[in-house]
Amino acid sequence: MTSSGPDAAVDLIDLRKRYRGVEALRGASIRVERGEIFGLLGPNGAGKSTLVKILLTLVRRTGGGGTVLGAPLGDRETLAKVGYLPENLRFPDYLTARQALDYFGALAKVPRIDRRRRGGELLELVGMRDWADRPVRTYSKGMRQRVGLAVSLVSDPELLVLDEPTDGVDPIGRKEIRDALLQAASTRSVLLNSHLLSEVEAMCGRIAILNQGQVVAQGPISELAGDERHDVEIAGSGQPLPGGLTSLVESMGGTCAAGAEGWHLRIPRRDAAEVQPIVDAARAAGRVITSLRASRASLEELFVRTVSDAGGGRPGGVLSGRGSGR
Amino acid sequence: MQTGAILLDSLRLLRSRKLFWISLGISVVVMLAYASIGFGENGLSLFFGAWELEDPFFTKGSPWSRALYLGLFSNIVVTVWLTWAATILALVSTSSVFPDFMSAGSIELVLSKPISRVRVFLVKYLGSLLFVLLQVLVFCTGVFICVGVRLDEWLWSIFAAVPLVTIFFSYLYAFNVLMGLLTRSGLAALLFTAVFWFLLFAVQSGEAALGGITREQQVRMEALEKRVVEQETRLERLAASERPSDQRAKERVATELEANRTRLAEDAQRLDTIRRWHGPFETLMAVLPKNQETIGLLDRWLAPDARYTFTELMLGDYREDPKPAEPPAAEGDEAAEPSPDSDRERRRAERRDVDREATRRVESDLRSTSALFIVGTSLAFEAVILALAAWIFARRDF
Repeated sequence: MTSSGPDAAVDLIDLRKRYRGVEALRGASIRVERGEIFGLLGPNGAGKSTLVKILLTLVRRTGGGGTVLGAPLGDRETLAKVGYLPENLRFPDYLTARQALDYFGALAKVPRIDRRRRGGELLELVGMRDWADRPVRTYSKGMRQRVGLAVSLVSDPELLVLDEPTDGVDPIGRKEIRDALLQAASTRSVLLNSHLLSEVEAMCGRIAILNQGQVVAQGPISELAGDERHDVEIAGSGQPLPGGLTSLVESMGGTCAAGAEGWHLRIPRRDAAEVQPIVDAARAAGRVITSLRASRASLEELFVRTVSDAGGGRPGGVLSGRGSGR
Repeated sequence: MQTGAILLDSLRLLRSRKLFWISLGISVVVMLAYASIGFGENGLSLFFGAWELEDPFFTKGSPWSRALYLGLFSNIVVTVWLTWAATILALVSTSSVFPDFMSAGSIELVLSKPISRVRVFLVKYLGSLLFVLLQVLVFCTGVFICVGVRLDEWLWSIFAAVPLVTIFFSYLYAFNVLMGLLTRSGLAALLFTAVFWFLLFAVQSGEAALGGITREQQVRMEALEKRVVEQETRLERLAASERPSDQRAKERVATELEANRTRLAEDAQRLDTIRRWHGPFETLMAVLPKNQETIGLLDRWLAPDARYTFTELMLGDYREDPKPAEPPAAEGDEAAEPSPDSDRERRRAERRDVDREATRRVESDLRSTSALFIVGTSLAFEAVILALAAWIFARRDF
């Protein structure tokens, strides 16, 4: 599924982790190219957080290996070039945002002068300049996450690892974080672990889907979704379609719906040409066609189908709940 | 840079704790109370002269005043406030430092940085000791000035309390950290530490009590042996006499001698039993942290040239002249029957002498134990506990 190479930001091969008899990772392999935003998806308990934590030396692996920014997995010095925003971030509440940036910058071996300069820039980037000298305990969840993002960037990392960066944040806060993130991500590799599929779909070029400790799909979203069958959707106004036409649609495996505002057809076909007879028949029957489009399967549909096909997980949980952490 | 950052963070953490400021506030009150004691021409005064006590001994510049003032610091202020009350406050305040530090969402930020876990652990541990170190440093500076003003003597040895009290606290805190790592709960760690402290106190008190009893028994036996030798000599002298009154005295002395021999044999047996009990306590104390002895070093170092010890002052011994030795019985009085009163007085005097000698020997034993042994073995125990905690911290998945 992956190929090793010197250009990868992250290249994890056959990672295994066992917690007291429970296998959290069963040979997971992912590869994040330099400069890309890579999404990590999976239902609760799929092993996403474990994988991220192994990458950051927070959890010791049972087997497997790989490289991070070209250095062997577990190399502590490489962590100076990695920024991390953990899930359920908790800052010491006696720190101010400026102090937090200075403290974690020092731990990342950023010289004092750079910490000061970058600290100011990052507070500006995440929109926290006016709150920089107030204690973290006075911040809202969204503000803490934004400071967390700034802290993860204080060492000007080559690789940014984000674990549920917008978890628990309101929609406006989510957008602010996402915008700041996209701006910060323009010059570095990003590994994004999120249960918000829309977020992953909006930001990531490639994804990996983990299920029961294994990578069950990996690649560009467009390719993964492209492998799926496209539907053709036709909508029109006026009276419902004649019975002969609805029978034809149903014989092709499609569905028909009608309402006060018009009618709607969904026909499972890859090629729009295959549905031309239906379009012709509808026009011949005097119906006005208001839209006709080929709809690709959404990431959500892809995710649900992939996880279900892999025979496990509870996709509904991932869409509605938070990651379990392990 | 990283070590400095963690220590600075520890300072910020301390500043944010209310208990730190409460503890510092109480320290200032205690220091003011200490500063309020003064010595004048006629005696000592309390509360900055509000209450004067006339006493010929505790006058300005007298050796008794010096012993009292320094003794109050090392025996009362340090022992009661710094090593009990302030230590409890410090433990309450710092016992959640590691559990909080290890909570999800917090520890990851630190451990995902290019710094070894053992270093993080040890610096964080040392940072927590600042709670006590800073308190004692501020306190000792105040006491240093008080002593300088009151006794006109600038005693730098007062600052020995800073490392001693910090080390004392560290014995307990190392255990507290280990419990915090294992339970991930500040409250549970605090409770386990309280139990550990109590056990240490029990073992230490048991050892000290049995050691004292052993010494007392030894002194008593020595006195008894001396008396037996005296009685044997006396008996030999009486055996040579042919006077009828001496014959009666001979019977009496022989009876007493027999009784004393029996007592001596019983005492020897008792001493054996006490030593059997004392042995395990001594072995335990050899490896466990020596809290009280560590703090006791301050008394030793503070004023090594002191003419009087604080214990002597408290017992009031300094007010009495040593009693002249009783004249030996005159020749020819061998047969004289001792009156009940004089016999009772003699026995009381003997008991008092035995007690004093036993106390002196116990103090001598304590002072003869080297500081290196006391602190070294205690720190060795702490090092083992810390090594175990560091190992757990370094290997744990977060």
